Amino acid sequence: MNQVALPRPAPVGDSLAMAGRALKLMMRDPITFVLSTFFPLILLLLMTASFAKIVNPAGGYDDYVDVSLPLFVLMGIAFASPVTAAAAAADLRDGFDARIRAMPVSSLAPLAGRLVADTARSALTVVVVVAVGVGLGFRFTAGFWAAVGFLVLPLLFGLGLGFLGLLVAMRARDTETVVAMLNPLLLVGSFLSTGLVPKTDLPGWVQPIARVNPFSVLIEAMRALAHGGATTRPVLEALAWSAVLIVGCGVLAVRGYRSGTRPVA
Amino acid sequence: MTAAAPAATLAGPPPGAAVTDPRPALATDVAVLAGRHLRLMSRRPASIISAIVLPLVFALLFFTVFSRVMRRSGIDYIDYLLPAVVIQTVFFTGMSAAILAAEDALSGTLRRLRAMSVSRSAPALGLLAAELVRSVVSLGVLLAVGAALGFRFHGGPWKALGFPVVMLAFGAALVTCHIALGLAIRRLEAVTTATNLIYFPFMLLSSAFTPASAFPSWLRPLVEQQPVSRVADALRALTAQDAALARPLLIAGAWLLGLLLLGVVGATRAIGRPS
Amino acid sequence: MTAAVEADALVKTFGDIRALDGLSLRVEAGTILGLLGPNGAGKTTAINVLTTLLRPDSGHARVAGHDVVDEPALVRASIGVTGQFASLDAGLTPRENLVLFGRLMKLGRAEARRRAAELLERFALTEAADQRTGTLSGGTRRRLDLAASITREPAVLFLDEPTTGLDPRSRLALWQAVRELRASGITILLTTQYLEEADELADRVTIIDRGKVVAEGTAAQLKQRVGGAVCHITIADPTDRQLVADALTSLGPVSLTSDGVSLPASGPETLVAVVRQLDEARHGGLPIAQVDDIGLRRPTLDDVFLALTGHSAAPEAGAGDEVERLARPAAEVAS
Ligand SMILES: Nc1ncnc2c1ncn2[C@@H]1O[C@H](COP(=O)(O)OP(=O)(O)O)[C@@H](O)[C@H]1O
Ligand SMILES: [Mg+2]
Repeated sequence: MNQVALPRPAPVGDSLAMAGRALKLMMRDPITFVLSTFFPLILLLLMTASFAKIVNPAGGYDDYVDVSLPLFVLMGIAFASPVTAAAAAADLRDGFDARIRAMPVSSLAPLAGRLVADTARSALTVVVVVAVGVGLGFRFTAGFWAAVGFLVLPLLFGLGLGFLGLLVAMRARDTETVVAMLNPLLLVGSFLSTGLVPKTDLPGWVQPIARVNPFSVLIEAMRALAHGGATTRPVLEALAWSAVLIVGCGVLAVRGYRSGTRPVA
Repeated sequence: MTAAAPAATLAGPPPGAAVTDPRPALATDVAVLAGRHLRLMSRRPASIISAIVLPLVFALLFFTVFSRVMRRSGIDYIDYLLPAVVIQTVFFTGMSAAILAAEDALSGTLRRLRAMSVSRSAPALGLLAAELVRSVVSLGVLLAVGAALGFRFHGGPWKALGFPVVMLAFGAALVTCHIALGLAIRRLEAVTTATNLIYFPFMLLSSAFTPASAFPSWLRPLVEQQPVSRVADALRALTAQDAALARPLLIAGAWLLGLLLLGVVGATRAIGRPS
Repeated sequence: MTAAVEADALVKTFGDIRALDGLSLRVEAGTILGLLGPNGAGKTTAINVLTTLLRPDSGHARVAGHDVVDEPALVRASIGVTGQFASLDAGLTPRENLVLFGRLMKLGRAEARRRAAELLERFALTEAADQRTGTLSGGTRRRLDLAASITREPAVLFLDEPTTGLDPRSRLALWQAVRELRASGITILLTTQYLEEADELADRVTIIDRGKVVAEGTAAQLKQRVGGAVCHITIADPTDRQLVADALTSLGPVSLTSDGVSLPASGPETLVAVVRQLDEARHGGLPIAQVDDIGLRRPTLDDVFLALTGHSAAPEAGAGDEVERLARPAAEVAS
């Protein structure tokens, strides 16, 4: 037997190939790509324009941008997850993954590839939103490495939300249902946080929710990384939440994925 | 005729004679097609979520997050917010209409209907009717939850009756425009993108969620004049105790008439396009 | 005899493409006409014009006695159409779909329900009647599609590639359904890419290419023009193909195909002649290396095309080819 000719799975190479495919598919639909990348920008501009004065009558517009920017960065990343999840569900439905499984390709490459592509897109979103935010009054005052942390932390969280999206996709299968289920969840997460108004301005019953809500945890950590103050604890909490999402949803999503691509009959 | 035709002996019905002409009957066609859409919507989780869950989620979230800061600015937020989420719901209804219209164009349903004795405008009107029914359901849910959160019609029953009328008029105009959009674009992702590009600026750069006075001064004229703000003004005039009615209703009415015309012209053009 | 469908010099252009280029055809009442042509020949466009969906640039057509341009409403009232791609609501059940069509055809509520039940019975759909249409197999959906287009018995029925993409069994079932419709007196115009299908169903066949009629007659007459059968010699090597083709020219018009050469055959004797000819060529010193297979088969549309026009029907990847192409890499890995 000629052993050399047998192709073998290569997890990293295969995942990158899948990531390339996912990115190419994203680019095929440039309008949607641009819109989803700039969606948080739209939110940032429009929400701050309408709520700055209401939330903080004493301060200026730039002050509100300074405190609310982390939320819009997170929303930009978070609301990409339903899109990714829908694409993953469509692949499953169309038998793409089952086909990959019949090939000498690392069986998790399609999932990994999606997340890699997604993270790349998220990185672009973060850079764009922060750049515009700086123009509108957002400031980094805690040094270079803290600023780097500010940019990287939401990407980790985004990875966790990506797995969450995949988990839902593995359960619901139908692309529309996936989006329709994730959107309300992400909306609740981003609104019931300390991102738009200070915690003390939320109703009493919401405050404990906002305290533990991962969006708030991330927002507080990002604020600390941008503006200084006690950083260690909020950053550790944010890392913990991201790890919980990545590991928890990751394990469940992979399990659902494996059973979903198992050949029938 | 060549002699080879083997079927010469088979007696078919004389063409045309066997046909009792089923005359296009607009009302029946619209009712039947509206029923079709409602049935399909009721089986589609995404439709139910966007008609019932999403409006509620937005109403509850805006109310929860901004009530305190609004009260500081002297605004009772549930009274202010309800017209906003009603308008938002009408936008969701429009998005649904655009997608369903595009789907019918893509799937060949429209073509098939056009080769049948079905009135030409019935597919669009059937969808419109179904979407208006849907928006009434959404309105019911929103009013019930709004009432629980403290929303009241302060202007008495007659003005309260005007509220759904204005909402339906807005719905008719916006849904018609969205049907035109869906029929014109006919690519599902592009339709979603286009509807979002309409929704976000019109909704967020309006006085729906926050008063125009909260916006930076250079934006204020735009925010005050645009149709969504004008419709919000009309709806609020109908819920307030003693606001002037005629002016906001007239301005909103003029906008809606214009939008409706735009939608009718657009849809008429788009529906005739061969697929 | 009266014509149920009569088209005269129809022209329809899309930009530079002449989808219909002076197309004329005629379907006698109570018969089936097979409109045969490769992908892009203009079959769907012809159906669109005849069913009032498209206005021809020039030319005339009458369907069930009515002009398609001047009396579209009357035409629509007399016809049923099943498009190339099924257009039924996946979210409704077959029964609901049929009731919907009945209502749109102005049957009363009860009458529409009764008719739906009758059609479900007639098209062997009772078992699937109350499942979501989207979950049904392609063949079942096609039958339902057919049932939907005769909710109100039409005088003329148009079927656009009714069996493309179906498995052999579903295809047989659909053929049977079409035959029954004809027996009930409905005039049928069906398009197809398969000579075999036209042969099975159609009383007469019109072959079109690039919007023009290339041949017209019964399937038997058309097949005779290629000699009833085709002898195909499979040869892997392209240079060998040319050598073999040259060696066989004395037996008839030899054509090169993607995997060998073919020529019209009159019967088994053609096989003998081919073998003998090849043997002689070899002895004569021709270096013919490898013939993989020799066989007789029934002529396809492509063979008729070759015989009639001298060029092969422009091959475009159909849905079936696509599936095959996609399936291949996985199969290679498995083997
Ligand atoms: N709406 C259209 N716009 C542009 N070109 C078209 C359109 N419809 C058909 N065509 C072109 O007309 C030709 C005939 O198409 P069609 O009637 O669909 O062929 P068939 O059904 O035989 O495969 C093709 O070249 C096709 O590309
Ligand atoms: Mg066709």
